[in-house]
Amino acid sequence: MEICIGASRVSVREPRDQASEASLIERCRRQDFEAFGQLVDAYQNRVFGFVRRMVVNAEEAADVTQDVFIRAFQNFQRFDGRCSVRTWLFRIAYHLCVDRARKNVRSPQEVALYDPSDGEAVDVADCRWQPEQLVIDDELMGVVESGIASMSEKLRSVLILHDREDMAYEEISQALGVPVGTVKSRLFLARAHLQDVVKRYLEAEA
Amino acid sequence: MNGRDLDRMNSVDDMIESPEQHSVRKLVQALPEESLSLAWRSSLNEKLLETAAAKKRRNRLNWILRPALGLGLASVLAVIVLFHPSQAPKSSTPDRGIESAIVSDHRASVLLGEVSSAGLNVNEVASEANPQEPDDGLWTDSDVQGL
Amino acid sequence: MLAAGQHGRPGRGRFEGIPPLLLRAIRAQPSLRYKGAYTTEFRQGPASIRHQEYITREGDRYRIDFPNDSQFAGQVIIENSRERLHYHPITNEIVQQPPRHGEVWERIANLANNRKFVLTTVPGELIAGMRTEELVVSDRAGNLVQRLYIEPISGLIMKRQLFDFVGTQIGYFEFTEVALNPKIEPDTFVIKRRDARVITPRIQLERLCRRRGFHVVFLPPSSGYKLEGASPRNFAGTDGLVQSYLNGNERLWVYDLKGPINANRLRQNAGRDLHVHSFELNGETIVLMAKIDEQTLARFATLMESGTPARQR
Repeated sequence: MEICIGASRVSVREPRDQASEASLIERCRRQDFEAFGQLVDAYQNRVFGFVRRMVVNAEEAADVTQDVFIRAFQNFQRFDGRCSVRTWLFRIAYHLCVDRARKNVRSPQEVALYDPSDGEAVDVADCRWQPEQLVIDDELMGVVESGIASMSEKLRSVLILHDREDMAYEEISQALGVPVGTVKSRLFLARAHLQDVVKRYLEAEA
Repeated sequence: MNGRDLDRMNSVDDMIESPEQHSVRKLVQALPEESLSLAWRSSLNEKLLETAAAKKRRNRLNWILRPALGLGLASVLAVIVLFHPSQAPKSSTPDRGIESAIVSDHRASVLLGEVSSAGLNVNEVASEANPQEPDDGLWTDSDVQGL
Repeated sequence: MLAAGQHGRPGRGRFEGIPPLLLRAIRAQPSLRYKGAYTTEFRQGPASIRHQEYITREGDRYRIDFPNDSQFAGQVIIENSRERLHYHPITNEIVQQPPRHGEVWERIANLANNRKFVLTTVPGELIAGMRTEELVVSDRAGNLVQRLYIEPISGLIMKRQLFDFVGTQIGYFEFTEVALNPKIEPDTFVIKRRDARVITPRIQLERLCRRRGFHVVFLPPSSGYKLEGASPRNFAGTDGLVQSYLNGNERLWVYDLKGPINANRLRQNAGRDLHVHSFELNGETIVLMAKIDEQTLARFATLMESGTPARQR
């Protein structure tokens, strides 16, 4: 079963339309466990998928994901509906990940790439790269994961939210609190970095 | 491709719509989804229940600490303490959340101090249910009304 | 967008780099004269507390009254550069406190000088019939921190909103009516209440301690800090009192808790900017918290231990 929340589709167990989502939210505001459970069902793996790529390891990601839902449960009365529940949850998740990274002083160094707004050069993999011919196997997935992990949090968060979570630019802008233009330029840089990582892997394989 | 090449592109919109960028997107989409365990979910449910219970306790405590009721309760407690001096001491294990509760309360007070300016601050407004902390043993009409 | 400005760096002059709108507001403060009414709202946990205040202001002199149907009806606050007097009609007492309004402006100026924040000016909305310009304060990641709506000619802040890290509004005030440069009676900034007793925050603290079963522990004035007020709290199931102190525009908090804490965890939670020092006294845990170094806090702790009539309850 699917429901449209915000700008993209997510699978939710029960609610079928906006009215039932609104009613679900209203019940969550009243600290209704069952209603909140439905939200957790709908979003736990998505939030975890995001957090998993933002923190050091899976255990920590599981902890942070719990924190996200606890924080949401505690503050549901403060959710004013100006953005979708999904955007709100990812916003909480992003901030908790950034907090965690600061505490761990684990954040990888910023990737030295071109930012379209500051005019510096960047080497992006050339157009001869033909990924449609790639065999997407476990090893390649590992390379992609490590490429994502080597990005700065800023680039990583945008890449995951856009390319994995199918979130619209505006929604990401709300979730991360940055302008839409910044979302786009970060997305470009993140993909360019990943392209470069995969290209190097393929060259080494060849 | 370098910075000059990029300059030729009309905008970031064009850049992120290029075939190479779309290919990377497909790679990211192909990443396997990890699921959380049932144990994780049970543990979350327990924590949510704890959170709700703590909130209820807080609300109940706030209610109890209303002036008149607080005064009444203080008298009852005084009697209990007087006649049960060997009551078990409080647990010496610190609550895991107390440190973060203090810091959160502190930060909220500082932030909300910005709103109040010359007027009543959040502490004064919140404690208005128990406004002037009258001398022990004295009570006012508002105490009676609050009963 | 009318103007966009990034704040100046510390050490380059206090007002350098401050957006012109904010600079105008800061410079207008000493000469502002107005009467008005505003609504204030604080968010405490899931609940919001809203009330209305009437204000009369002439430079650094303020008078605050409350509507007759308000829970604060009859209370009066008078503040000048030396003191703040708060009249409570039920007890017929006037609490004498250090003034607190100056620090608000100090903090606003500090915002502009803090590299963590970006200040942007955009057209504002009509508030209480007055046109405003809006000063948006965001962090470097673009997260909204505050919004100030300023009447550009007088420099009066007509509305101010504060947001938490998930972008939820946690407090605001907004004028509902205002008259600039009105006639102000000479006795406006005086409280005349027959037989009213002037008390200090220290007396209030002692009463509070007695009622809540705490030992009377306080930071003596020799520290340079003056007690502003105290209020009861419950921290994750542990009863406590919070004392707030002022030294000019510097603040310090003392937490008196009926239970132990983990000092390291508290320090971690407080982060780098905020410093803490904790110790035990008469079975209670005392925590000092301020943006001053821990050594000074430890010295204050010694003052508290030696200077406080600790056995008093």
